Amino acid sequence: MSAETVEASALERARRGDEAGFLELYRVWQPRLLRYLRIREGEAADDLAAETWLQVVRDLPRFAGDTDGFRRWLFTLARNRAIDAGRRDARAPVVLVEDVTTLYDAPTAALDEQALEHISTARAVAIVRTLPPAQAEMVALRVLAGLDVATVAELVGRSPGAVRVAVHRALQALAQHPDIQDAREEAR
Amino acid sequence: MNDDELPGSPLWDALRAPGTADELSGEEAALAAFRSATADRRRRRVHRLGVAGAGLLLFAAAGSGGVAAAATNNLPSPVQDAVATIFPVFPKSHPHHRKPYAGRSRSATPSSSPSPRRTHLAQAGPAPSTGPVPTATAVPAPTPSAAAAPSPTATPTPGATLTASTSATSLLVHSDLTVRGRLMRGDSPVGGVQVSLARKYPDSSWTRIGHATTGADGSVQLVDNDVQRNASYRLVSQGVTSGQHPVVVRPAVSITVTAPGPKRRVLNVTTDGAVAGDAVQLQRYDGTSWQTMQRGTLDSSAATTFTVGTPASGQKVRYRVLVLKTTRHGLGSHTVTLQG
Repeated sequence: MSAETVEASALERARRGDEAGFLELYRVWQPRLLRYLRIREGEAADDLAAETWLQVVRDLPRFAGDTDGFRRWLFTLARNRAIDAGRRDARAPVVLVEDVTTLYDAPTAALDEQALEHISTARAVAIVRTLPPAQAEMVALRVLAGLDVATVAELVGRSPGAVRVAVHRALQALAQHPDIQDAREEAR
Repeated sequence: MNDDELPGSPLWDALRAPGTADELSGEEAALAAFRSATADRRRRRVHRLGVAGAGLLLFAAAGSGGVAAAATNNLPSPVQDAVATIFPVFPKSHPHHRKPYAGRSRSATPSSSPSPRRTHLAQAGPAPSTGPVPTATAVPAPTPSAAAAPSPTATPTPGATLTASTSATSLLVHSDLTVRGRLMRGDSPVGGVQVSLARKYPDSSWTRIGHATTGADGSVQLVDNDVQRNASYRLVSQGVTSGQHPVVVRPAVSITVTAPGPKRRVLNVTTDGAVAGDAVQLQRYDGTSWQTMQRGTLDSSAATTFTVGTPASGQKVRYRVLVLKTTRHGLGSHTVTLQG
């Protein structure tokens, strides 16, 4: 069976209440969901991902789409959770505390992960986060959720043309990132 | 480029890499949520079919709120407990769960929260917007059992959610790490409630290391004033647990340069936060990227030396020493420039 068929089977079984089916879905999508939320929201990602899965668990039996639809639904839920959390924070401003990482040896801060021979996932998330937030989110939705341009456009409320341009600019910016250049050189 | 195709990149490969154990650490919780929701739906189905006896009818009715109600804590105790076990952001039910919450708030002035037996300063409520976070007083650390004991002044927090964030995800050894949290009940802040900061090293279990009382805006702030090793942090309050936040601690690396002769330079490397046997690398910058020149390990003093050639007259060469990451610490680095 192809990966997509396996996922479709897992989705159908999960919808009927099968735990193994749900676990398969969770193992495939939780890491990507978490990385998307880390790119979008940073430290709040874990809580938002947990809340998203709770909503999935609650509404899964009523979900009627296919695997593409599931991906769109999952990341839409996560995005809405993140937006709601942002509104909550805006109403109750968080007390800002000086970020201690800025106090020490700035060049070392770029070396959080041991990414000298390859790019780690955490480093990749950090690199994408260097993009302007809207671009970073669009790239994350394209790469991590595997959504096409039209779906990303619908999700973020922009035109497909605007998404295409933003992602193109993001790719150009990322290609200039020193870590990406290093990784390419090492791959040669 | 086709709409649905992105050019290949090592970045995408990294982003799509299989999940790590840490990323999947909530698996049991998610599965338990799924199990609870499924069981609840089945009970409701039985109820609708009208096959249940009187006792079962009561049970089904009690569970009819479903998992959705967990977020507002409207579930009966057994169901709420199941949900709390699985998704840490939701609280466990409490014996006083159905009592009105009004009147439980207490004064949340900062002076009420510090305890004399604590290595970590707890500051309740909003912190000053300027100036550093106060440092902790140096006092003996409480024993784990004492630290884990419930506080007699703790206030239950039914229906609340506790969120947490750390001031950094990576920081230098011996730095301060600030953990901020907010206790909310729906959209309302919950003040006057004790919140503990818990820390877990990769090779040990969760230990509570300090506590504070939430301010009127539901916020709380605690500081681990001397981070030494990689750890995860979370906040806990009467059955409500925040998400956990891993923090990478970078070892400090220092280099002094000596010249045993005109043609050689010795880089004397000392470290703090790393241990004997940790792998180290000497790298040289060739103008475009860093090239590894030598590899070694730290000696029993967590130190090492590298000998390099003296740069040609008038030339500058940049070297850096890396202490590679382990489960105990992240990557440490220090760069020096030698001039011939």
